[in-house]
Formats: sequence, structure tokens, C-alpha cells
Amino acid sequence: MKNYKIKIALFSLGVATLLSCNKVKNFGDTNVNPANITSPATYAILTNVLAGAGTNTGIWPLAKDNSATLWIQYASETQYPSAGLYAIPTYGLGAYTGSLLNLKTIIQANNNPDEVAVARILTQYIYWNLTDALGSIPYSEALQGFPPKFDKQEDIYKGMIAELTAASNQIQNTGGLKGDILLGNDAAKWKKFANSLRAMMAIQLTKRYPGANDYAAVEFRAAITDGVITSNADNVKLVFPGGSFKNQYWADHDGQRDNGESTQIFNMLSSLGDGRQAAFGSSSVPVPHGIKEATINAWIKANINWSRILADNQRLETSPIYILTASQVFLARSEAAFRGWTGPGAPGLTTENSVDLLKQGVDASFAQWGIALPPASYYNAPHTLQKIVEQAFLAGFPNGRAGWNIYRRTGFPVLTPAPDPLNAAHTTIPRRYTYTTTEYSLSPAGVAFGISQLVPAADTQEARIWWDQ
Amino acid sequence: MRRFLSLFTMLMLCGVLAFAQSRVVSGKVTDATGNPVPFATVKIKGKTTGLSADNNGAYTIRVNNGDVLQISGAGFAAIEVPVGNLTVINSVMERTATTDLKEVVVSGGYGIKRSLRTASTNTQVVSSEQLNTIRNTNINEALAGKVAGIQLRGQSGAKLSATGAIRLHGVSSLTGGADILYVLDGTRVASDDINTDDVEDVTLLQGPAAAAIFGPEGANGAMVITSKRARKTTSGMGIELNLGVRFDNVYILPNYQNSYAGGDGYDMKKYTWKAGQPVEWKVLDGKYYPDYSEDVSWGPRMVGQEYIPWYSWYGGHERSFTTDKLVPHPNNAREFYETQQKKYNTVTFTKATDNMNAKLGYTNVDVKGLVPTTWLKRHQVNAKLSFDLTDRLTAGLTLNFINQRSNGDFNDAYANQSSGSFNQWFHRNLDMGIVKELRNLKTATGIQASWNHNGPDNYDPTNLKDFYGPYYWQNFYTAYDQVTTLNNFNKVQGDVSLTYKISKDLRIMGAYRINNINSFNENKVSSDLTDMKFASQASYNSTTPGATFLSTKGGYRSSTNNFHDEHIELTAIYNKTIRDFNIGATAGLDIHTQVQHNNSANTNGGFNTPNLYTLGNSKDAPTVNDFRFKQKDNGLFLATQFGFRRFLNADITLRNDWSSTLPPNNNKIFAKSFGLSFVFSELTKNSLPWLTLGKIRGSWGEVPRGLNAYDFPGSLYTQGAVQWNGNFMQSTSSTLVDPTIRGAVATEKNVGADFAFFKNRVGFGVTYTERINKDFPTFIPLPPGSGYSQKLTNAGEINYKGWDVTFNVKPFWMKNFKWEINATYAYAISNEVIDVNGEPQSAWKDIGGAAPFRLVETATFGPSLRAVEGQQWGQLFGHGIKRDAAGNALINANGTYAYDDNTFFGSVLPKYTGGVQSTFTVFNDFTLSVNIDYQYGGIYYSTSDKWGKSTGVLALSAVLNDRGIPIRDPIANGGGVHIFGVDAVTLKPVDMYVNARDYYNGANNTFDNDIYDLTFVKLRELAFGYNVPVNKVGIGKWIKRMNFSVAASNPWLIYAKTRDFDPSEIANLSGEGANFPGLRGIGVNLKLGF
Repeated sequence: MKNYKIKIALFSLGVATLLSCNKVKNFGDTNVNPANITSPATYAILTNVLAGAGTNTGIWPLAKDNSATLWIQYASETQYPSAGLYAIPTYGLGAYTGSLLNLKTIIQANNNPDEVAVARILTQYIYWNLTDALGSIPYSEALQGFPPKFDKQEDIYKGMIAELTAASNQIQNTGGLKGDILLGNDAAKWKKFANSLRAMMAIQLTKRYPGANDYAAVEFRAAITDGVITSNADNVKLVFPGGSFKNQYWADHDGQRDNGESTQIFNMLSSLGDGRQAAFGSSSVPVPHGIKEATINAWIKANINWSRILADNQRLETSPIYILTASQVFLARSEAAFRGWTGPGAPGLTTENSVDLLKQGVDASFAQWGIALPPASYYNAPHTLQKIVEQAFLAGFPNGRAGWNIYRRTGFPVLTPAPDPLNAAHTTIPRRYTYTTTEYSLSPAGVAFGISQLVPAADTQEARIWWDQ
Repeated sequence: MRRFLSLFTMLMLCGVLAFAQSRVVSGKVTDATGNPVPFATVKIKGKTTGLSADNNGAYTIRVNNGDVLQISGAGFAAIEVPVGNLTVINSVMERTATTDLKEVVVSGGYGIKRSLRTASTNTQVVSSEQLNTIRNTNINEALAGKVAGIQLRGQSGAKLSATGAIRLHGVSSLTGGADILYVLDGTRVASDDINTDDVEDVTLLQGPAAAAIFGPEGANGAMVITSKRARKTTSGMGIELNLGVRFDNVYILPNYQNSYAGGDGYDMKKYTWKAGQPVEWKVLDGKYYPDYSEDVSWGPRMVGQEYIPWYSWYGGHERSFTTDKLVPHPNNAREFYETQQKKYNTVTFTKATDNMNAKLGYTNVDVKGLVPTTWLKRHQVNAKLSFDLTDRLTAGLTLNFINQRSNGDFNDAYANQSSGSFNQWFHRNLDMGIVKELRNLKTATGIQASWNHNGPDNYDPTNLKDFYGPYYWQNFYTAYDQVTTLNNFNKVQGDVSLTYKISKDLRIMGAYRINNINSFNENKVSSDLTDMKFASQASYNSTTPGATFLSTKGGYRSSTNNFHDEHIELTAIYNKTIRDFNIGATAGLDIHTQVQHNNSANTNGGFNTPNLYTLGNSKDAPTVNDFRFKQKDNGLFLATQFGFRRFLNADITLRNDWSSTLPPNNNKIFAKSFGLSFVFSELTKNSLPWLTLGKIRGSWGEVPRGLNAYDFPGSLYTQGAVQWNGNFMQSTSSTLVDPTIRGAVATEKNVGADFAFFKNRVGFGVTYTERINKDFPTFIPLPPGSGYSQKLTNAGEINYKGWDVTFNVKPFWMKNFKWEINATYAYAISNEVIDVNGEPQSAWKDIGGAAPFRLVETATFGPSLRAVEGQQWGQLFGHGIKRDAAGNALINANGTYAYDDNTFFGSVLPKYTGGVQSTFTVFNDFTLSVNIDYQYGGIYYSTSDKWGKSTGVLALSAVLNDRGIPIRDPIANGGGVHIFGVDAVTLKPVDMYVNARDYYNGANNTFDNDIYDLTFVKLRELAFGYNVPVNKVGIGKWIKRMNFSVAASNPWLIYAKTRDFDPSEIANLSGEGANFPGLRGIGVNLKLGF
């Protein structure tokens, strides 16, 4: 019996020893994920944002908005038509949890003033695309970790232009940018990009602020004065390296062929005798626009050689995607001068000349695509707003957002809606995207505010956002 | 509870005072072969007190000289032994002639054995014989219908390595999980690690109240499996052979139509040869051809007319440039599948002596699959060894070693390259024999031929692939030939242990236990596989690695995974019987470490050198992934059992774990359970002799869980695997993690009663269970504008309430004819979602189900599966036919149904499940086993049905309407589908005929008619066995035992509401995507003992 007790005591002691040795509660760094990074490389985050890796919320995917491309008839669907037939479009706010949060990390880390300025510029570029798609979005309270309010688009525009101005002024151009796969770590180019964005945002407000002394014209002149893109060498374009990151127009035609060049853009180019067709399409058989599945299927079968978006040599794995070009900026300046915001008699920048700027813009576009410049007859009178705007429309190809913004703001070019819309209630070219069910369930107050800012006040694709009213 | 404990302490004290005058004898009760008689009753003649031996038959009792011990045990003839002056009394008991019941032993984990008779929890034990009425390599399937409360969600037998899943009392998480813990000889394993040939018995500890001793892992209940051990035999060599072969064929396929050929359009086109086309085609000039490119069967009627078949256009084979008669091939889909052949052989060597016990088993499984090119090979070694080094010290080893290799793309999701075509996108006129014959057919330039190619109008000499290449579909055989999916693994599982017997009552055991898995998987897609013109359908199957390659140009993917799980256990087991009292206590320490390493990589963009399957041969940079996980848990536990006079019994289990996965300042996990049972038949033995057993019991348990490694504190920044021209990339995590995050908590209470009458001729058990699972670690979505997409926090609650009933009757129990029926029934009163995310505004959660797809407007591909607050879990939700108050369908002007976006179709969970097993034994040597299982209620969505009707493949799309005219005929000629309802706008009655194609087309965009009932009654197993009387036939000298059996699996689907699929084998939670067919098999088996 005694022996037995000793053994129990020994056993208990053994257990106690084992427990104390093991520090039963303390596991040290067992739960530290070896793949976790606690101190980020902000330049690597910048690369990630610019690559738009695997998301629809990066930088270049905004310039390759498939639905907008179909609505404004740069492209036509070749199978499974849906967006081009005005299926209800929604636009999510995934950019906030992806690119925008990443850019906020860069800004907060504050490693280098140029890097911070770059992040601020990209942030405003993304907000610009989001607000133009939806109208009201979270802006002033965004990215704070709590449900933010939705802001008026007017306030967002003023905020974006102010922030871009500040970011442009922040650029020191002292070197030290890294990971910038968009503009080659050249801070001076970022300054021009920021100023050009200010100009493009300002000209977007022509319906709300038409006058030469109004807010938009003032900001436009300030932007031009601060220095904008004036050469194709300064174009904001993402050149894909191929391999892991291929040009997406190439990828769209790799095994899957959903979109082709639309008859609308083809006909515009034909009527102008415009050489850019050699770059914009792969053949002279454009795809008819907005027709239903059975019809388009039969048409595709009968027209094997239908024209892809972009010529084969413009659609390589390593081709660029254009985000903002000299041509677009010149044409915006031509329009501003036409509107009297600049040029003779304007409150500033009186040397701007609408006709000259049109030619500079068109030439820049031709040169951008490697096409021989058009003859002088291309610029024959009359010199009209429609002419300038339609050139801007052509210069934007294939960036659907660029064309859509111009069309919504000016009504040019005149487009014929899809003949076979899916739904009798939605037969006209969409003016905006609608909010997603995620926003409805998680930000009901924000969505309600956003809807109240629309005309008519309904979350439809036909309702008009503030600058479109 | 506190009151009970103080009462118990008083009883203990009384007991201690009462036995002061006597002395102690100990002993062991064994049967004639030397095996222990567990839990034998030992009492002193003339006294009412008695006690039970432990599970090894050992007992200690206080006696006075002159006492006589009465020893009895279920299934044994009672004996009487005079005490005399002996201090050790070992007794041998003889089995009674009419063995009708063995004492059933419950394996409770950590070596705890106890009698089922006094168990307080909801526990069922399945013996080896019950489990293996027919040999089945899959323990989940083998248990179907045999345990009350489980639902087997089976999978088609064509998916060779799929084991199906068991739901125990419905689902216990919002996402549908019900993962029970499988414990084999103390080691936590996966269900498919268990060799059913090697199983001695299975104890199902149903829920947290019964499985609390396993701590967090026991939260959903545990299946504790004891493998076979050597038995002492008086004769023979201890060699057993179990040899089996089984053949399976397709038994169920959707009901296809056999009237209309492939193509899109009633009429065939006339072919006119054109300059520039191959001259060989001239012979086809003026003949007719259907549309090969549309993968639907809305083509011409098949009436034996001459036509140009798909293969005719390809040169270089016997059937080039010939025509054929357009006739139905009703069995074409069936003909694709081959006879599945399975060989399943085991040899076991056993040897047991007084101080040594050894088993070594080897099992070989070799399967040639139903789907062409698929196979599986498995080698398994099961060893169990224990030997007594001294009379106190025992050393032991258990080992489960598995090597398995298999090949096959067992993806049976939408649009896969076999059932995905046959059920959904197909030409009903295909002659599968010719498809098979031409599996290697290529053009001179290497383009692979397919039945689904473009029409001759699309012939373009500069782009031959556009005509000759596959359009949406490969030749099925070619696809399976050229896509290889190899899965290989080695597993080493088991333990080494030392047990030291400190005294008769107390022993301690130290064990080191591992579960090591090394796996290697690879996918190869040949460069020769011609990519399809339209790859969107196949690339949709992103769930299967092989399928995602189908749209590209060859590829290779490999992954290796190394999983190491170890437990260091130190356990003290104490059993003491003091007169009327019986105490069992198991205390222990469990130090757990789990480490995982995973490396995987795949090529991108095709190969540089065709068909060189290396990662370095990737055209673009290969994608490389590596993952590591590490987790540690320390557990301390105490399980106690107090028995009083064999009729009153209390169980208390307490376990505390500390887990590395939880926030360090609060990383405790405390599990506990309490139970009470009262065997009142002990008190009525004399007054109610027919009441063999009467027991009431109740138990309560609460088991919290841990987290996954690294869930807390989450990652802040992560780095991507690819680079942009040498620029690497990092990103910021948009997930927030609650600093007080905990694991989910399972709480269960149950009460039950067990009865047996007339010496166990009739018996039943009833249990009522209530369980709550809550506070799941859940990602709660945040408004994206906040910058964060989600937050990991504790939320959600789901309950379960239900009844389990078991029933046993032996209508005949005579010497030469025995008939036993076991039946189970489980009724789920409720499996309701109480809370989804702790917030009122989002009262539902998508669990999965179909993905969005191209249909008009906001239509989706199929209903989604949702957990909705206040409803039974697993609601199918989506577009349903809109109805007026009276229930009439609303019909649009064009004849389509108006739909309601927010239709709930019901829950996928069955209402009740169970089974009936009948065994007939004639002359002791002939047995017939009939196993039926059933399920009532629950629904599933049939993707095949949706598409098979819209593509004109299924029979429903080619029936006669109520006017007796084919629905595909023009409405003007009396055809069309007759629909009734009310106009969607005016609400006036509508009674019209609609074009069949339009009706079944995707435009008719509601799911009501594609949702089916999961109810079924199925004869799952039918087995006939014969024990060859080896002595009579004169081979007894060499062979000690010989059993021959023939078994049929799935012989009869007795009842099902739909007969397109076997409702017991629906692949997904929400339904089927393109289920592989069910199999019906016949197997023969020979068991030899030497």
C-alpha cells in the first residue's frame, strides 16, 4: 500500500514536471505565420496596384471597362451577348479593399515624398473612375475602418482636383521612386499625369460649369499652366512584360473570343478615310452591334474573318494598355479653347488655339498607333465641337471609359442603341452603373443618399449622375 | 449537480464503513478460448450486492470465508465458485448454446472501455459482422442505415477515391459541416484510412456529450474504431485470407430522348461541294448533314434517313467520306462507361500467447474504374503488437500503413467531358462505339477530331482548326486519354506505448502517436490535346485542376504535401470496485503538435517542348506556392465513472486544452460533460423477469473548439508569387480579426431509454437530443468603403432537435433458423439557423451552390444554397415561378413564366433517415443479409435536368402533349407544351401552347421544375454467405474456417421520386452538377482460415 502511494506521488510529480517543462499555456512563436510580412515594402505594394494583378479594381482594368466599351460601341459581343444588350450593370466597390487600401498603406508609411505623391495621384484616379461609374460613393470618410458616408459627386470632384493639385505640388523629383512599372520611376511624368487628370476632370464638368469663369474653367487653366502631357513619350500606358502578365486584349482572344470591333467605330473611321482602322481592327469585317444570341451566333459562323479588337500587331502579349495619352489631353485643350475657357479673349491661357490643338491631338493619336499622319484635308472646315469630340472619342479607343465619358457629357458621337435589348425596360445606352447588392445590404444609408443625388432619383442605369444632369 | 455529488460522497463513505470485516479476493473471468469476459457480474450468493468486472474481465471483491461467488455474463452460462481460502479466483465461463447477446463494449477514447449497458450517453456500437455484411472498403458506406442519426451523403462509385460524408444529426455549422472525428486505435485519422476488413468494432459517440474527452476535436462526435487483435486459439495457424472480386456497372442514368438527333434545327442541310474544299468531299455532294457545332439535340427526327456523320469529313480512317443511317443510339452514354472491376484481398496473420499478442495484416485493393482510364491501387498494412515484458509492464505497437495511387479526373461538375456532355450538351445520335474507335483520330496537321465540330461552310484552308477542331467538346475518350490526374500518398499512422500496472487497480500508459501523410499529386495535359474553339464551358470547371487546362495548350501541375501530426499521451487508468461501488477514472495529458508543408506549382501558357512534363518546361513563368502550418495543443483530462450496484451510474468528463491557435492571453478551451444512467431492470429482475433491460439515461456536454493556425492574429501584408519584370509585389490584407476571437461551441443535451425484453428477443432504444452550435469564427462582411472587406469574429447559431430510435427483434431464434432484424430511425425535428452573423440586416448567408451564368437579366445558373435565419438550414433559393394568391403560375405574353427572384424551394436536409437490416441464418451455415436504408424529405437541384431539357437531350423534351402530338411539332400542327396559369399583367386565365424549344430553353428561367426530392428507399446490400463445413467435406485438416459469399450492392432502388439519379449519391450539398451514374455491382468473396 505504501509502495502504491509512492508511485502515485511519483506519477503526479512526473505529470507536473512535464507540464511545467512544456509551459502548458505558452506556445512561443508557434502561431506566427511564416508567410506574413509585418513591415511592408511600399514600392512592392505600388507595383501590385499598378499591375492590377488578378483584380478588376487595379489601374489598367479601369481603362479596359468591357461593358462601357460595348455601350459606346467600340466593341460588339460575338457570343453570349449580355452587357451589350443592356443587362443591368452593377459596379462594386472592391477597389476600396484592394488598390485604395494598398495606396493608403503607402501614404501612411510616408517613406518618400514622391512615392506618397504617386499613391495620392493613383488614389484620385481610382476615385474618379468609381464616381463616374456610380455617382455618389464614399470619399471623405473612406478607408477608415468604419462604415463611411457617401459623398455628393460635386464634393468628390472638388476634392479630387484639390488633392491632385496638392500631390502634384508635393513631387520633389529627387529620385528614389521604385517599383513604378507605369512611368518608369520618373516623378516628372507623374506630375504631368496628375495635372492632366485635373484637366480631364475639369472638362468633364462642362454641363455643370460651362462658363469661362466658372470653377471648371479655372481649374482647367490651372492644370494646363502647371504642365500636362504634351508628347507621346509622356503617355500613361502600362506596357505588359508578357509571361505572367500579358496584355489583356491578347488574353481575351486566347482561347476565348467574346468581343470584336464594332461596326460603329469601323464606320466612323471609314467615313473619315482614317488610317487608324489598320490598328483598331484585325480585318475589314466589323461585328454588328447589339444583336441577340441566335443572330450573332449565325453571323459569326458565316463571317469567320470577323474583326478582333485591335490589329494582331497591336494585340501582342507585350502590347501596352493606354490609360491617358497626349492625344486625349490635346483634344481636351482643343475643346476648352473652342468653349472659350482658353484662347483669345479667355480669362487666361490666351495662346491656346482650338484648331491647332485638334491637329496636334489627332497627329498624336496617329503617331501613338504607328499610323502615317493624315493629310491636311483631314482637318478641313468647319471646325465644330462635334468634330473635336469625335476625335477625342476615336483617340480614346479602346478605353471604353474614355469614350463613355465623352458620349455622356456631349452626346457625341450620335449612337443608335442596340436593336435587340434584353429587357423592354432598358433599351437605351446606360448612363451609369447601379449599386451592387453588397452595398444595399452593408451601406443602406449610403445607397439611399446616392440614389437621392440621381436624376431621376432611382438606382437605374438610365439615371444621370451629377455632372450628366 | 452539486446535490448529486454530495449525495454520492455520502454513499461512498457508507460503503467504506460497511466492508471493514472482510478480506479481498481478485480474479479474472475468461471464456473457453482465454479471452476475457468483459463486465461480467460477480456477486456473493445470498446477498443482493454485486459488482462488474472491468473490460478485461478482472475484478476484486471483498468476501468472507465460506462465501460462494456467483459469476454471470451476458451470453454465458452463470457459474458458482466457492471462495474457500483462495485469494485469486480465475474463472472460465462457457458460452450458452443460444448466444443471443454479448456484453457490448463501448470504446470511449484514451483506452477507456466500458459496458454499453450502463452508458449514460447516446452511443451505438456496430460490430465487425454488422459492418461487413458485404465487404465494403469504405466505412462510411458500410455504416449506412446501421446507426440511428447518421445520414450518408454518398458519391457515385465511379469516383474511385471518394468516400462520401456522414452527417451526424444534421449539420453543425452554418456552412454545412458535420465533420466527425475518426479515431482508430487511439489515433485520429481520416475515414478512408480505415480498413473495414480490419475493424473489430465501431463505437459512435454521438455528439459533444459523449465525445468530450477528445476535447475540441470531439465537438461533433467521434467514431472510435478498434481494430482486430489476435485471439488465442486452440487450433490452427492464425492465418486468414479474405479474397474478393466485384464487378460494377451503370445502373442509373437520366432518361434520355431517342427521337431527335443532334443539331439545332428540324431540317438537315444539303451539302454542296465548293472549289477549295477537299476533293475527297466531292462524294458527299448532295447529301445531308446536321449541325455538328451546336451541342444540343434539337435536330432532325431519327428515322433511318441517310446523313453525313461527324467523322465522315475527316480523312484517314475506314469511315472517311461515307454516309450512315440516322438512327437512335439509346445506350450511347451507357456504352461510354466500362465495367468497374475491383479486387479486394486481405491476408492476416495472428498469434496470441499468454503474454504476447500479435497481428499483421496486408490488404490490397485494385480497381479498374467505370470511367475509362481511371484506376486505383492501394496497399495497406495493419499491425498490432503487444507483449508483457513483466507481469506489470506491457509494450505495444499499432501501425496503419497505406500506400495509394490513383488516376482519374473524377470531376462530375457541370460540363465535364463525360457526364457533363451526356446529360447536358450532347447529340443523341452519336454511336459511342465509333467515338471510341476514333479516339486517336487526327488530321495530317495534328488537329484532333471531335464529334462536335464546325459545319463545312466554315471550312477555311488557312485555318483548318476552325473546321476540324473541337467546338465545345473533345472526343470523350481523347479527353480522358490526354488528361492525367495522378494522386499518390503514403500514410503512416499508429503508436508505440508502454503500460505499467502499478497495482491491480491502477495502470499508467505512455504513448507516442503519429499520423504522417506524404502525398504527391500531379496533373498532366498533353500538348496534343487540341484546344476547343469555345472553351468557356470547360474552363468553367475550375474546381478540377485538369479541366482548367483544357482550354490551353498542355500543362503540368504537381504538388507535394507533408502532414505530420503527433500526440504524446500520458494516461493513468484507475478502476476500483468496493462492494457496491465501482469507480473508473482516467486522467491524462495529451501534448499535440501538427505541422504541414505544402509545395505546389504549375506551368503557365503551355510547354516549350511538347509533352515534356516538367515545371521548368513552362512557357511562361510557372506559378509556385508553398504553405506551412504549425499548431500545438496541450490537453489535460479526467474522465470518471461512478457505478452503484450495477444500476446507478454517473459519468463526469472534464478536459482543458491550451491551444496555440487562440489569442495567447486567453488560450484555454474547457470541455465538459456529465451523464447519469439508471438501469431499473436490475431492481425488477425478480418481479419482471421478462424485462431483460430497462434503462433511462441522460447526458449533457459542452465542447468549444480552437481555431485554424494563423487565423489569429491574421496577416497584415502578403507577398505575391509572381513578379513583373523583376518587380515583386506585396499587398495589404483587407481582413480584420477580432482580438477576442474564439472557437465555435457545441452544446448538447439528451435523454434516452433502452429496453430489452424476453432475453433480448425484442429491444429498442430511444434518444431525444438537443444540440446548439454557435459562435462560429465567421467572416462578417464589412462595407467596402471602410477599406476592409470582412472581419473575422464569432457569430452564428444553429440548433438541432431530434429523435433517434433503434429497434431489434428476433422473430425466429431456433437452432436451425434464426432471423434477426435491426432497424434505425432518426427524425430531425429541427435543424434551424438561429443567427447568421449577429446582425439583423443580413439574415442569411450564401453557402455555395451554383455560380452565376449567362442567362437573361439577373438570372443565375441555379439556385443558391443559403443559411437563413429562422429557417431550416440549407435553403435552395432563387428564381421560382411567380404565383398569384391562388397558386396559379403567372405567365408572360411570350409564354414564359414570370419569376420571383426570392423563392425559397425548401431545405436540402432530409427529415428522417434510417435503415433496416435483416439477417437470416439457416442451419447455422447459410446466411442471407438484406440491408435497406431510407431517407425522407430534403431536396436537390439538378443541373443536368435544367440543361438536359433546354438542350433537348432528356426525354422530357420529346414527349407527346395532351393532344397526343409531339411537343416539338409546330404549335400550328398541334404540337407545343401546354401551359396553364394567369397572365402576368392582367391576371386573366392563360391556357396556351408554347414552342417546346422556347419552353425548355434557358429563357424559361425558373428552377421549380429542376428541383427534386431526396426521398428514397433503397436495397443497398444483399448478401448470401455459406460457411463451408470444412470437417464434413474433409478439408478440415488444412482449412479451419471457410466462408463463401455472394453480394450485390445497389440491387434495387425501391422508391425514389426521380429516377434520373440515385438520391443517396448526389454529389454536392445543393444538388448535382452532372453526377456520374450510380453503380450496381455483384461481388464474390472467399474467406479462409488456416
